[in-house]
Amino acid sequence: MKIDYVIKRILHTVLIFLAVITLNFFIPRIGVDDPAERYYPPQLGSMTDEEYDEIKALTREQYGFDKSNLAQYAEYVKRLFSGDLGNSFQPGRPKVMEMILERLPWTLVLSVSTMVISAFFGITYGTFAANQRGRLADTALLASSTVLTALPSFIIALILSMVLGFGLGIFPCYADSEMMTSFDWSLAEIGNVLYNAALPIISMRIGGIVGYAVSTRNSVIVVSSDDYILTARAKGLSNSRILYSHTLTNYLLPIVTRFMMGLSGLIGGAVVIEKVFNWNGMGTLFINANLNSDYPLMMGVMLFLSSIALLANLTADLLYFVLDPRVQDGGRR
Amino acid sequence: MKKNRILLLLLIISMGILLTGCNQNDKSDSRSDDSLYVGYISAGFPAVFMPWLSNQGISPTVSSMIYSTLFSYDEENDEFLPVLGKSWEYVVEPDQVPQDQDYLEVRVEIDELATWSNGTPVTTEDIYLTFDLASDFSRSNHAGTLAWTGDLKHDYNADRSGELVRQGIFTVNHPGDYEFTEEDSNVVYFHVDKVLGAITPLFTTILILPEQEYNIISQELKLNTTSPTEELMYLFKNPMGSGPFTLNVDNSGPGVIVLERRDDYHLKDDDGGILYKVEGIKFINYLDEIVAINAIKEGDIDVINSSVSNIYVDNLSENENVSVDTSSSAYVQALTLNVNVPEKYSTPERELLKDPILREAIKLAIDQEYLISESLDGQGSMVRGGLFDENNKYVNDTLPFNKIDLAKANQLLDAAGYLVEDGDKFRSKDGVSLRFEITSNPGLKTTINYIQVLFEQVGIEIVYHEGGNNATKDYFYLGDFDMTIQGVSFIMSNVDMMMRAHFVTVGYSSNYGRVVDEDLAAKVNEMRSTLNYDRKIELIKELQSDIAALNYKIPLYTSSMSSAYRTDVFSGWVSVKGTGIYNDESLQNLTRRQ
Amino acid sequence: MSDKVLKIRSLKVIFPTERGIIKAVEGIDFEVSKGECVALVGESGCGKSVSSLAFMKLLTTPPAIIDTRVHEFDGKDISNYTDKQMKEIVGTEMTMIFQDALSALNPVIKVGRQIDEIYIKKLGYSKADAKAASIEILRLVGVPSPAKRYHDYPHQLSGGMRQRALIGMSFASNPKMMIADEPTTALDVTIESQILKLLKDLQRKNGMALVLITHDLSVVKRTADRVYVMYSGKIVEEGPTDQVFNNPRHPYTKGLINSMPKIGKTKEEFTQIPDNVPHPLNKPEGCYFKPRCSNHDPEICKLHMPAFENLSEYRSVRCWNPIEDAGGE
Repeated sequence: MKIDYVIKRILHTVLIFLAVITLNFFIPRIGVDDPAERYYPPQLGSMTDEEYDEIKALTREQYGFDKSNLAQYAEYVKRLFSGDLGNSFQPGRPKVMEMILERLPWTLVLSVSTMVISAFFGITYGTFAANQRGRLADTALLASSTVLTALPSFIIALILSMVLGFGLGIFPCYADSEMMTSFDWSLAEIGNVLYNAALPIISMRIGGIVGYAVSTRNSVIVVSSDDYILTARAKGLSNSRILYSHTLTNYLLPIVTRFMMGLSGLIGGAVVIEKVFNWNGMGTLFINANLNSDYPLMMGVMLFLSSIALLANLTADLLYFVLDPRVQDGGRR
Repeated sequence: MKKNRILLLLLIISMGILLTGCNQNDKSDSRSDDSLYVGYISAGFPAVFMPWLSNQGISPTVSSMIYSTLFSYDEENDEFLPVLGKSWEYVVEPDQVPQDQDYLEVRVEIDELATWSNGTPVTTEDIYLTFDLASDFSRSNHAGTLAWTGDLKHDYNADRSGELVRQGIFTVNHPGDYEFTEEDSNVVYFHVDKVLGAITPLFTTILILPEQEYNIISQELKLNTTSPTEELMYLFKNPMGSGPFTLNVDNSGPGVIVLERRDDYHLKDDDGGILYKVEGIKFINYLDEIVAINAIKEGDIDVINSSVSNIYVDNLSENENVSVDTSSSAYVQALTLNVNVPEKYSTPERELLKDPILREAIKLAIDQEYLISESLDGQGSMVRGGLFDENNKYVNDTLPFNKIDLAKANQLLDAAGYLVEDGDKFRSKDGVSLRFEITSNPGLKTTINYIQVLFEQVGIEIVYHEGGNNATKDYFYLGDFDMTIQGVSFIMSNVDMMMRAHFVTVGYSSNYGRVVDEDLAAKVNEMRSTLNYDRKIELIKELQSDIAALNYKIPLYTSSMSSAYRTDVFSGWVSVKGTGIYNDESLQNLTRRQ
Repeated sequence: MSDKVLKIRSLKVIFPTERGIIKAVEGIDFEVSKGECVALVGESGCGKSVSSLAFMKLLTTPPAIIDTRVHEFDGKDISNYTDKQMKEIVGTEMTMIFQDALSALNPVIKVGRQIDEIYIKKLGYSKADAKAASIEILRLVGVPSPAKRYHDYPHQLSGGMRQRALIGMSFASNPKMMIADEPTTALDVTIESQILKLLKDLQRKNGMALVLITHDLSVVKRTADRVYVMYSGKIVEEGPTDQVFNNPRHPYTKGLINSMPKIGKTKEEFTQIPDNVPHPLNKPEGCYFKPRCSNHDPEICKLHMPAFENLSEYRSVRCWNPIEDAGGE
C-alpha cells in the first residue's frame, strides 16, 4: 500500500518527464527560422548565394537538421539518456551541461537562500501574527501583503538598491563580477558571496516573506480551529506543546508545497533581478539562448528547469507521504 | 504571550544580523593588482576561445589580443604595419603582371623574433598550415567565414575530398616551384587573386593558429565540429597564441576575463622597451549598462569598453575622476530605401521608391543639422552623400553636403504627379499614397520621429515599424521593408568587399536594399579589379559621387561615441577616432599612477 | 456542598461580531454532583457546546466574553484561575471528549502517542511507563489488540474504536468530571449503545461526574440521571430524567420528546417542532420559544421573558404557561 503510492508518484513523474522531453524538443521547432542561418550569418556580402547556400546545407547536416524531425527526436532522446545535453551553437561548441552547471550554483545561492530566508521569516512571523490575530502585528501583515504583492519585485529591487546600496552603502548595489571565478570555499569568499547576494535576496523575497507569512498565518488560524487542537487544549497541554507538536505538523503541509513550487520558479524567474544586481545566473543564460536562437542551450535550460520543477513536485509529494500518514494509505480520510 | 514576545525578538535580532552582519566585509581588495580594469556590457563571458569561430561579444576583442595576424592596417596612411610579418612586397608590381598570369605574387617575411606564448618561435610552417586549413573546407568546415581565404589561390577540390588541386602558399617546407635558400627560412610566398584588395583580409583578419590547433583538426574532427573532443575542447579553453597577452584561464570565468601581458612579445616600443605598458587587463562583465556606469563611478573599473548612452554623460562628468571622451564613430547612419523589392514582398508603395525623382525629393527633405541637434542632442556630425567617413583620407570632399530644400522637394513632387488630393494630408499618385514605414530597432525611434516631422512637410507620411531583434535576418536580407536606417562604414580596408555588398550583389547575402544599376556595378567591379593603385583611389572618389547621386542610401549623420574612463589610476589615455578611448594605443601608452 | 463537582451560577457568554453581539449563553445555572450523570440537551445552536467549553474555561477570550457569578470545581472557586492554573486541572481532573473522534484526534500523530501525552505531560510518567499505561487504558475502553492499535494513526481505526480511544484518553487521568460533547452522534446505533455503555460503566466504577452534551433525547433517557433542557442560550427546564420524560412541563421539552423516533411509531405520529431555533442575532422579544409555541399567550409571552421557576424540589421550568402536571411524580 505504502510503496504503491511512492511507485505511483515516481512513475507519474517519469511519465511527465517524458512528455516534457517531447514538448521541449518540438516546441522550439514550431515556426522557427532556419537554425543554420543563425549559425552562419552571411559575412559582409563576401559570399555568393551559392556559397552561402552550400554552407547552410553543411551546417544543417552537421546539426542533423536535414533529417526528419522524428529522426532528430530519436537522436536527441538517445543522447539525453546517456546524460548528454548536447553542445551549444556558440562558437567552440561548449557543452550545454557545463554551461548550465557553471551558472547553476550562483542561481542556487540566490534561490535557495531566498527560499530559506523567506520561509524562515515568513513562517515565524506568520505564526506570530496568527497568535496576535486582529492586533497590530496581524493587521500590519495583511496591509503590507496587499502593498507588496502589488509591487513588482524589480521595483523593490531598484528602491533597495537606491536606499541600502547607494544611500546607506551597507550592501553592494551590484554583484562583484569576479566572485564567480575567485570563489574558493574560504570563509571570506563565502562571506563575500552572501554580502553580494544580500540585496538581490532581500528584494526578491520581501514579497515572498510576506507571502509565506500570510499563508502561514491563515494555515495556523485554520488549523487552530480544527477539533484536534481543541482536544489538545482540553488535555490541558501547554501552549507551546500545542503549537509545536499539534499545530505545526499540520500547517507545515501546505507550506511544504509552497516551498517546493516556489523553488522551481525562482531558479528560472529571476531575470530582471539578475540584471539589476549584475548576477550572472540561469535567467540570463536562458534569455541569451533565446536571443541567439541557441536551440541546444535553450532546450537544455528548459529541460533543466522543468526537471527541477518535477523533482520539487515529487519531493513535495514524498514529503507529504512522510509527514501525513493519511497519504500513506492512499489518501483515504 | 511571553512566547510571542520571544518570537518577535528572535525575528528582530535575525533581521538585524542580516542587515549589519556582513557590513565589515569590504571591497577594498578589488584593486590589488596593477591591471587595467575594463568594464564590458554583455550577458556573460564565454569559456571557450577559437578565434575563427566567433565574431560575437567579447570573443573577437580577446582573440585579437591573444592571437596575432600577419599585419595590422593603418587606416590613416593606408599601409600595413608589422605584426607577425616583418615586411611584405609584391614580387612583381601588380600593374606589370603579364596578362596571362592569373595571380599576384606576394612575398612576406616573418619576424624571426615572434614566439608563441609557450616560448617556441612562430614559423613559416605555422603560417602555411594555418592558411592551408582555412582554405580546406573539408577540415575547416567553413569556419573560414572569419578566416576568409577566398582570394588566396590555394585551392582544394570542390568535392570536399580534401585534395589540394592548386598550391598557392610556398615556404621552405612547401617550396612548390620556388627555390628556397637557408636565408629564406622565414619567407612565405602567397599567390592571390589579381585584385589589389586581395591581400587585405589575408593580412589583417586571419589570426594565425598554433601547431596544436591546426594539427588536431582532420576531416574526421572538423574545426567547427558540433561535438568537439575533450582534447579539442581543452585547446579551445586554453588558447595559446602569439599575441601580446595570454589568457589567465584559472582566474577567468563568466564574470571576468584576465589577460596577462607577455613580456617576451616580439614587438617593442621605440626605445626597445616593452610595447604594452599595462601589465594586465581585466575585463569585468556587467549585465546592464547602468551597472557599468555605477562601477566606473565607484572606481571598480577604469574604462567602459563600449560607447555610453548620452543620458549618462552629464551624470558621469560630475565625478571628478571620470572623464568622457567624445569621438566620431566610424559609421554613417543612412536612410536606406528598398528600391528593388523581391517580388514576394512587393507593395505599390515600395514600387514607387524606384522613381529617382521621389528619392531626390526625399533627400531634399532631410535636414542633417536638425536631426543631429534634436535626436542626438548635438552629439554627431554631418556627412556627405558618398557614405565615406568625413575624416577619411579618401573621402571625396568635392561633393557638397546634402542640404534641406523643402521648396524644391515639393516642386519636384508636384511636377512628377505626386499630388495632395482634396481632404488629404499626404501626397499620392495613381491612388497610391506616399506612406512608408521605417523598419528599425527601438534605439532609432527618436531619429525616426524627427524624420517623420521633416517628411510631413513634403507630404510624405512616415510610420515607425519595429523590426525584429536581428535586423539582418528579420528584414534586411529578405528585402521585406520600405525604408530602414543602416550604419554604413567604408574604409580602405573593406571598400572592396563592402562596395560590392552594398551596390552590386543582389543575392540573399547582399547588403540590403538591392540597388540595380549596371553602370555603378561595372564601376565597382573596375575599382575592385584595377591593379593600378592611383586609378583605384580615383575610382573610389568617383564612386562616392555616383552613390550620392543615386539617393538610395541617404546619409543622416555620424553620431559621436562617448567613452567613459577614469583618470585617477591610469594616465596616458589616447583617443582614437572610431574606436573610443579603449584601444590598442591607449594600452601601449597607459601608465599606472603611483 | 462538597459533593458538587461543578457549580456554576449565571454563566453568560457573548461574542461580539461585526454584525452585532451574539448572546450565546444567557446566564445559566448548572451543577453536577459526584458520580452523577447530567445531560445538557437542546437543538444545535442552543449554546450547549459553548456552555460546556465555558465550564472548562476553554473558550478563547477574546473573542468570547465570559461572565459567571459562581464557578466552582470540586469545591474550589476557579472563577479567577489563570490560564496556567486551569491547565493544572484541565485534562486531568476535568476532561472532555468530542463528537467526531476523527477530527478530534490529530491526524498525523499515532493514537497511542496522543494518549501518552496525558501521562507524560500531565502526570509525569516516563515514556515507557506512559506507553504501558496507554495500552492498558486502550484495553480498558475495549479496544481489541491495544498494543497493536497503539501504533495506528486515527484514520486507520474504525469510528467506534476512535471514540473508544478518545474516551480512553479522557479517562486516562481518572478525572473527577468528564464532559462528553455529542459522543455518539457520528456513530451508528449499535456502536452508539456500546459507547454509552462504556461511558456509564466508567462513570459508575469511578464515581466520576459525567456531563453529557447532546441533542439526542434517547441518549439522555438511557444515560442521564438528571437533565437540563436548553433553548436559545437559556435553560428552559430542569429535572430528573424520568420525571422530565414522563411529565414534561415546558412545551419545548414536550416537542423534543414527541419528535423522538420510537419503535412502533408511524410517520404521522412522529411530530416535529415547527420552525427553527431563532437566529442568535435576532432573538424574539419576550419568550424566545414563543414563535414556535402552539400554546402561547399573545400578551405576556410576547412581551416578557418568563423566569426560571422552581416547580418542586427537583424541577424547574421557564414558562408562563407550563403544561399541566401529569402527575406521577
